[in-house]
Amino acid sequence: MSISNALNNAVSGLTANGKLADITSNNIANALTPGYARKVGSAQASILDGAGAGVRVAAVDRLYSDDLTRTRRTADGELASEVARSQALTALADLVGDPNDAGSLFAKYQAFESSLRSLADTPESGALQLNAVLAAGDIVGKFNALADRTRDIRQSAEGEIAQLVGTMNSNLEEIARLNRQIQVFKSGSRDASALEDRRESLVDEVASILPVKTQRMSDGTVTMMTREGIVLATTQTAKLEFSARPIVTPDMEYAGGSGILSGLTIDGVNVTPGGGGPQAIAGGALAGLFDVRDRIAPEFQAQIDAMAADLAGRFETAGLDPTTAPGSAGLFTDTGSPINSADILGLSSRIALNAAIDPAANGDPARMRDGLGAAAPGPSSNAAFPAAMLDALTESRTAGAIPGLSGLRSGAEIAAAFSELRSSARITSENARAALTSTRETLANAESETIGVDTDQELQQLLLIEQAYAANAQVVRTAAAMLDELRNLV
Amino acid sequence: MPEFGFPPQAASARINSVVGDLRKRSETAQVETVTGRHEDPAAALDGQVGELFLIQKALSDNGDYRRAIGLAEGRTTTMQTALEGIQIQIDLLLRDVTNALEFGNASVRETVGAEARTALGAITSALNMRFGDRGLFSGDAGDNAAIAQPDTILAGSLVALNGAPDATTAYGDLSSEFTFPGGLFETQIYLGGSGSAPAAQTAAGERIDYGQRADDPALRNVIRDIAILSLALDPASGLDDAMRGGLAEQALGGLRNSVPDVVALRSKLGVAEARIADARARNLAAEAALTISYNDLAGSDQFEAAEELKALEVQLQTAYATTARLSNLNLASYLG
Repeated sequence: MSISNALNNAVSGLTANGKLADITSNNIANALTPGYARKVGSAQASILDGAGAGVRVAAVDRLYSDDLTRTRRTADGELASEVARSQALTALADLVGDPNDAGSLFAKYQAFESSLRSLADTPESGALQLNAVLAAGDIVGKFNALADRTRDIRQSAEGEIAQLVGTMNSNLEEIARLNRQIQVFKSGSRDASALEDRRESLVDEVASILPVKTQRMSDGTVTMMTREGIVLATTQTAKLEFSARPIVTPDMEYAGGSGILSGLTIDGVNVTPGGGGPQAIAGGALAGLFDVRDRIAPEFQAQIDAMAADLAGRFETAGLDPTTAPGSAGLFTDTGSPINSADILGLSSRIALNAAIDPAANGDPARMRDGLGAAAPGPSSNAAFPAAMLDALTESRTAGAIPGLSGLRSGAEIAAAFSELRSSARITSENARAALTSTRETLANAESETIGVDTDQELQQLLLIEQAYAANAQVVRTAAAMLDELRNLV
Repeated sequence: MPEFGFPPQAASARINSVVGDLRKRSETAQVETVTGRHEDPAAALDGQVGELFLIQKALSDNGDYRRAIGLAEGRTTTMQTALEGIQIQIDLLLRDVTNALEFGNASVRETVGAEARTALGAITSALNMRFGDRGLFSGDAGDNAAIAQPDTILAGSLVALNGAPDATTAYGDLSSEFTFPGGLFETQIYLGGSGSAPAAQTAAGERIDYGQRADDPALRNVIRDIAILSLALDPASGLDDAMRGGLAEQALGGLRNSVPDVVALRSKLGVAEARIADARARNLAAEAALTISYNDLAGSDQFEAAEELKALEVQLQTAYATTARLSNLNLASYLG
């Protein structure tokens, strides 16, 4: 009967508008949720036996902006990579110090040179002898601190890589599970938009760790692979593998896979960033951390080791100290022994003061005047040895053995040039990070404008839904009244 | 459905970014206004901090040289005072001994002899003068006195003099003891070191040597001759009476010949003093020039920083005000 059809049509209208109100209210509730994309309900006329049978919400679609999202995820990965580098470079530059920093490496060199100059002028002063020892000790302490920090940064990178690999593997498992679930929902015409939101959020997280390409399939699943073409997740997953070392020492390296440190594989395929392999990944936080572990930290280690060797070598010059035998350790030692120029890896952590002048080792600071091998005090105002040490420190020597430096430089000039190298590296990285941050923010905003929730738009939609609901409710009342009239006739 | 409006999340992210940047710049401007220095010199110089470090070092080195100059000035002034005192003692003694030998009787000569002994004590004290931990005339053995006490000088001299047959031979013998290595002077009288005290480094590559030792030939001769006068003019000294007159005459002549040598010592020290004064003037000029260079690189204009701070303050206030107004412009605010 047509009145009952009208009633059914009106009820379907109430149901459909109720669903649309549900979708709209969910959009408004998530207006500020990061990563949330607007949902749109698709109303469709119902047809039964070739005749109109009301309305239904055929599908709830999540908005996508594939180009913007892909570009934004690329920016996320580049930014995450640069953040990892920038943090390491900033930490190292901060410890090296800048001209405002009284504890900078350069300030230590400067103070030591000044102490030797004062001692050469007044060698009889016990206070100045001790001051020179303390200043030398400060340089040693600074080198040790730089070595410790480098080791910590490298160790931290190793740990973070392991953590991110764990996160990746669990995210890939979850993405595959969501793919399977969405596949089932879509095949049953059920609303899978919330699952898609969750999946997109996980893909965003993965993309910042490791650059990926995604492709949405017709069954609702997403195929995710590395930019180099290795499939990471569909309804099944690949597995990332990495073996973290509990302790990372300066002599450990990856060395293309032949070293002790682990690389990164995906189902056995070597994808180690910077490893030189054909499918080595580039970009993402993992690439940044591998760069820190395998290039940035080792390069810094090599620089400070070479600087320590240069400093110690200046005081082992033949003839500098007539009270010691040729080849003996000078003012600075390698754990008590002379420096071995063929074995300077890690020297910055091993460099120490000669025990002959170190009060902490029952040494006598007066030997800064008399010579390291002096058995008895010499003439109190004899400045020959302090002056010779000052000349050794201020002598222009080739700095080419220190990676990144060249030319002839004194000790303090080497410290200044090295500080400039580290400052430049930090500023360059910070500038890159700022530019990438700005780009990423612009892309995220553009993406949000395209697929985000505009509350004004949603409220306008809600007004229309409310009107439609009221109209359908009126139809129900009218149809019911008509049916009542029919009953009254009987 | 027509598109209009702007997602609140995008708007929020955008204004947060702007406000965050304004606040960061405000903090930097605040620090620079107060200190007059770049908050982050590496960022201000785009990482090129090497030159700044080296200028800083040059300033520090200049400070070291200034301290060395100050010490050298103090030491040389004290040494010059000592040598001046020695010269005055010589002048007085020359006058009095000349008068005593020419016109005086035994009593006068005895008085002048006592004066000579006092002068020997004064000269010994002058040569043993210290500056800080350093004996100024002790060479590189700065912790030692330079010269033995007058009693030791006189006792040793008496032994050397009494062994000779006559005054001329006695004078010659004592002169040898004061001149040759291993003699009385080097074994018993001079207590300082054979090396020199360090020169003062007053600038890069410049050292000024102002050291003088008490074993300088001029000072050896002065001590010798005053010791002889002390013994020769004192009847109770134990010196052979037959040699007194001749020895006194020869010592007087020797002392008179020493005057130009002592003056030469003072002149040499004066030259060093002039060089030190010149070094101080150059040091001050270098300090001024380096400070200007350093401030050019490391300094920020406090007035400019203050103006920027004010401008940023206005921008922040505008950002907050517009945010507040725009946040009310949404459909939800107008629906009943």
